[in-house]
Amino acid sequence: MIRQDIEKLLKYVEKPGRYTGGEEGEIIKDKSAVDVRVAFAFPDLYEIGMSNLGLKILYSCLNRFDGVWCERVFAPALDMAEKMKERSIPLWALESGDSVRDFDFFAVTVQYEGLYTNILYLLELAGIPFYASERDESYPIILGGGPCTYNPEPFCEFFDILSIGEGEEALPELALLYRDSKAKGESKKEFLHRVATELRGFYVPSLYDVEYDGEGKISSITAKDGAPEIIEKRFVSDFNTAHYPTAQVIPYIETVHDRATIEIFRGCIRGCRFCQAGMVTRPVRERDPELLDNMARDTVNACGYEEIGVSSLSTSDYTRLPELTDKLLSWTQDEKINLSLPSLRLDSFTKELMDKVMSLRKSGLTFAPEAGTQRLRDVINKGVTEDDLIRAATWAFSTGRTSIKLYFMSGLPTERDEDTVGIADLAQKVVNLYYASPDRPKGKSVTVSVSVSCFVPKPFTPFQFEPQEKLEELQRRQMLLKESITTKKVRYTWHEARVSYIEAVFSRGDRRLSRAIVEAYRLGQVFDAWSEHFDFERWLTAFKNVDIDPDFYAYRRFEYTDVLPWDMIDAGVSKEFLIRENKKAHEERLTPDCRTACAGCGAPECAIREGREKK
Amino acid sequence: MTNPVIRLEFKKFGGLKYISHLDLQRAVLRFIKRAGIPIRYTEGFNPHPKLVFALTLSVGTESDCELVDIYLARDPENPETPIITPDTFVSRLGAVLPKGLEIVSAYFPETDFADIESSDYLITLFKSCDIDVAKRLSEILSEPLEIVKKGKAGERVVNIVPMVFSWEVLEENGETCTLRATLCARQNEYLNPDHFVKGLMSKCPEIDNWLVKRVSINFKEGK
Ligand code: SF4
Repeated sequence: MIRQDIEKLLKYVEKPGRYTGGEEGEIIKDKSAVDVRVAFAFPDLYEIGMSNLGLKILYSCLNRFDGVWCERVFAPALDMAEKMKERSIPLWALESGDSVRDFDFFAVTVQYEGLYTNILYLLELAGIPFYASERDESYPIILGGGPCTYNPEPFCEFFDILSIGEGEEALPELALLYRDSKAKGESKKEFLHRVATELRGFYVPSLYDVEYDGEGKISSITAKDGAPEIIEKRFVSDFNTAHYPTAQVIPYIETVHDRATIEIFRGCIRGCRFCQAGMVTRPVRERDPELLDNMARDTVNACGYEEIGVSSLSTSDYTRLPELTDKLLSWTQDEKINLSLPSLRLDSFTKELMDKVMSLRKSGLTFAPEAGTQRLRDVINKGVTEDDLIRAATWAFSTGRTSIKLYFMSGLPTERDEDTVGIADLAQKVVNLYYASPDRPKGKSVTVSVSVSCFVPKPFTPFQFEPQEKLEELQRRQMLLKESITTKKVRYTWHEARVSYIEAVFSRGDRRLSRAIVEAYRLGQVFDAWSEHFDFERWLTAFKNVDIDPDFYAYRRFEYTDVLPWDMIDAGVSKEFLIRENKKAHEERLTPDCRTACAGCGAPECAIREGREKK
Repeated sequence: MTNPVIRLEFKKFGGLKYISHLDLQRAVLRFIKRAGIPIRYTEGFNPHPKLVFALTLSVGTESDCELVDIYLARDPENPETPIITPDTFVSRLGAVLPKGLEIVSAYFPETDFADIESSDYLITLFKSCDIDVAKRLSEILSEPLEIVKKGKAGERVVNIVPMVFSWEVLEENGETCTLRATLCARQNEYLNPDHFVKGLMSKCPEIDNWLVKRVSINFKEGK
């Protein structure tokens, strides 16, 4: 039911369907029969958040317990926030319409750096003070999770608890512990202490003291009151038994991805040295094809989706892909269900497969060499060659495609001008290939899109020690590349370097940065992830106002011996491995993928290393 | 019958009234698929299911009588015969529809959407102060009332009075005024009820909010 006072606002806002709740598949429980209420927030707009698989999984995981009711919250757009403030209507959860302030938990998933100010936006709209230290017993427990919690330090002071790693098993444990603690009449402080000492994978920031040396670097991190010195990330050991909800909330308004997403495996065997996801999701865990096929079928039947998206970090690395696609194609083609298979590597099998799945809609081909020369691709351990690209492009043109998208990164460690110019050369080669290919579509021109983002050093990657390239230098390289592209057939777009700079500051930041986030928010910064709301000057003012030098975080080389802000967290890969890989990068040496040889990353329970992987 | 089609009449209310027409189309399609009703796809490069809605409905508008024609898949053995009866259609679809969408009826249509003439609405106007809206409306609608219509060919000014076929105040009190209006709904002369109300508001600023519900869709006489 929409609350009446909320309904009154709906006429004045864009896309009111974001705020009504009541979608098919939402879970409604009897308030008087539940003892743990969780408001689960995705701090971006409804249509973005509703596409997030993690949210769907955790929503269902928590609601499986009778006494627990998990509801959804999204960031209202600015027009709605203004109306809410005008009429003093605090942030509510969609299912019950109840104010978030009155829940037991307010959980926020932090997916990207561009949402840090939105954490405060949600807290403010909910009428909850920003800092954990300013909140008494009457406020909900503020819980954080999501990929950004591998370095939660910049925003950790806003949270009571941070969940590290996968939440499927951890969150229900937390909810049940809370129930027990509530029944015993324990205080918030006692509960937090129990979370830190009795459960695994939860970081309670208030139980850690951080000290700094004269240069401003961290000198020590000390766990207090028996809290663990190292918090190990949680992960589901057996991915086949991991919870997956085939019945999902079906949004009525259009969302970013309107499809059934089936995750085929977690982890990555590749070891690209810039990639955080590839490292922190290890070990590799695959799901069986029969299970995946059933999951897809059940979800499509339950939700009426017209598309199935296969999700993982690299579809082609799924060992039983032919078996899976055979199964899926055996019914999806008849039922007119599209299959989306992203990040395929091109080999003979996938060529045949792509002919099958993409015949309906001729989507352009995408390819991510990431760097312009083989030398630099070796540095980042991206195991693709120019030949791979040429082969892919040859195939694409032979099937009548006339566009190819290429993804690159600029500002990578050791990058020189020849690497930048190499991007233009590579694109030119693809253009030439098109005009040289005999079976290209007659009379049509080719478009090679070159999209270049900026390198941001990320925690738990071999490049975590690397400084980001200076802003002016990144901008110079963007211009250099622009000048090196001489044909109109190449369409060049680049990622705003100033956004990447702010990302770099927070990516490797420590807890002193929370003040900068608060200050930026106070100055009006919100929805950073939306380019129209991002204001670089405002960020610089914010840093200045709180006396923080952002260059210290973005441009400093972190030494191997430094205490890192996230050293209390164990993401599964060992620091020794990361150091080893960092050294090899500077020696321009490749590390083979995990199935060729184990690189000794330290990932626990790794089926590949232990020879347990099914073939 | 060469074209097996079932016409569905349904209500749209509650939270669902806040979705756009495009979203409504997607939702209806999704529920039809969930109900396992085999629908026909258009031929060609990018086949899409064939559903045809009678009229559009703006965000925030309730309806008692939306009409949509659903083109059924053909049985290859028996292409002329519909592969599902309206009764089965109703029971299957009814089982999956969420609250906010409700079936009124389903039947094999005998009319054509091209012959739609008008549509009736119940409109509740909220007043910021106690004025006699009924009287004001008579005055406003007795002379031309121009609104700016944004179309594909840019903006143009239209007098909407000829498109207001009839109206009648059902109830008026200090805070609200409820009327029933029949507005033109011909193919190229559709008067959106929101535009009608906004036109009234431009002459009568004391109206500060409104609610609309579509209550009937009328075909040309004899059709
Ligand atoms: S333990 Fe070895 S095989 Fe397993 S993920 Fe790490 S490097 Fe790869």
